[in-house]
Amino acid sequence: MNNIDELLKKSKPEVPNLPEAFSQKIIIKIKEQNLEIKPAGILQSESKWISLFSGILLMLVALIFMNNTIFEVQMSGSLELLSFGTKYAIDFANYLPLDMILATLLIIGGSTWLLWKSHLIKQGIALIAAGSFLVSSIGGSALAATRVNERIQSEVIKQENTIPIISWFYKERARFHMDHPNVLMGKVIEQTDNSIIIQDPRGKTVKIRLPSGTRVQTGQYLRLDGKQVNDGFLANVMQYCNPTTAGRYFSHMGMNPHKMNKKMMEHHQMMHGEDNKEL
Amino acid sequence: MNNLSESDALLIDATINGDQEAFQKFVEKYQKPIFSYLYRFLYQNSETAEDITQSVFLKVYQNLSNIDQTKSIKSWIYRIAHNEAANYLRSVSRKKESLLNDEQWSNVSTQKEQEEDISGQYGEVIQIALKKIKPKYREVIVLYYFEEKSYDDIAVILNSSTSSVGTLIRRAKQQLKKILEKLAPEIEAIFIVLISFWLSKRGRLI
Repeated sequence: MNNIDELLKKSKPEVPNLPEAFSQKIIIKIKEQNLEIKPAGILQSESKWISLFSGILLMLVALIFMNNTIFEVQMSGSLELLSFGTKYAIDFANYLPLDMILATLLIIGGSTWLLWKSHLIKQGIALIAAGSFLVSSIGGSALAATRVNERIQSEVIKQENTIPIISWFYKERARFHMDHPNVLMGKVIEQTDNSIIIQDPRGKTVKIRLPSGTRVQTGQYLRLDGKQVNDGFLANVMQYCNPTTAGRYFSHMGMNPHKMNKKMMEHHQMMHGEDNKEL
Repeated sequence: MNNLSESDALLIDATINGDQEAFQKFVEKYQKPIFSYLYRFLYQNSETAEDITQSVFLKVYQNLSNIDQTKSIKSWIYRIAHNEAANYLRSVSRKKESLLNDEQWSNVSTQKEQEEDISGQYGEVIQIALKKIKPKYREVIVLYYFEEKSYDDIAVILNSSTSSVGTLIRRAKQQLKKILEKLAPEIEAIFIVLISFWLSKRGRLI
């Protein structure tokens, strides 16, 4: 490589002279083309900073969208399906809020473009996109882990006034709507000799026949894998739920009990067929 | 922080106030380095380099009010030249402009026996190889080795980081070396003859 350094320095091509009247030619061109000095607009350096701050702002919006997406997935109850391994993975995927995911990705795209356009981050666009995605994902997950969403939701549910977008999201979208013929989740409200009765987060009660030898107490949260039978549900597998995690599904209990939201209706019809309109 | 020299600031103010002679002086101050960079970057075609130098200064004129005074004005003009050269390269087919054909290459090869011309020929070989590497690599070679710009200056011109400039130069040299080896299998021999010749001229050989 050193040889190449030396040789490159030695092989500098000679440059011919420009015509003597070159600068005059420029002035003539300016006059011929009636060129004018553009008025001072936003200085280039200022416009770069504007792009940078807009990009960062959009990244924060993406972070909030990511947090809301995570919260919606958590609240939907679809994560309960994954507790039984990968056999319900496809069903879980059906519950992913694709519109929110798409919106988040678009915002990340916008933020990437602005950050790249600012020219203040001297990296390729792919690297900036990866960074923007990582910041939004990690930040969104961290925000979701602080349980700020649960606090906002409980306040919003108490409010009688409607706050645009926020009320719609926390009251309508981010609520339990997992509805699967083979998986149930609920709180034990009554026990008999060979069966129990659970209440799901929608307020619906179901009689459950448990696997032999299992013991439960009233007030416990359970998730069950099994099948529907004439008089209720026959459980093959039973798991105890974390009361804190499962408890949040019931935050909407006081609101429109027994009423399905739009998403819940869609999934109910998908899982049980068009004709079954049972709540 | 203001990076404009007093003389540049005076010329720019006078131009903005309608004094075109001031702009002529401004052009005279910077035309040579810009033309030199474009000539060496754009395949040593003086006509093309002259045309693009002209459009560079027309752009400079139009944007005089929006000069970023925190940056060096010379780098700003180089940056405009870089953009204009990139637009030009996009608009023409690279093949049409760049490569010497086989006949031209063999002419170069047959002359290389003559010892007195070895240095010049080697320069020619390097120039042929430079025409074959990607424009982004050729540009950093031109800026660093021929225009003797620092990494920091090149980073401003290319709107990149100093470390990226280092990477680009390293890759450019690797690509150049590969092409040199491909172009002339006896290149190593030429290296030795050339270096021996150069040292003997300096009286370093026994």
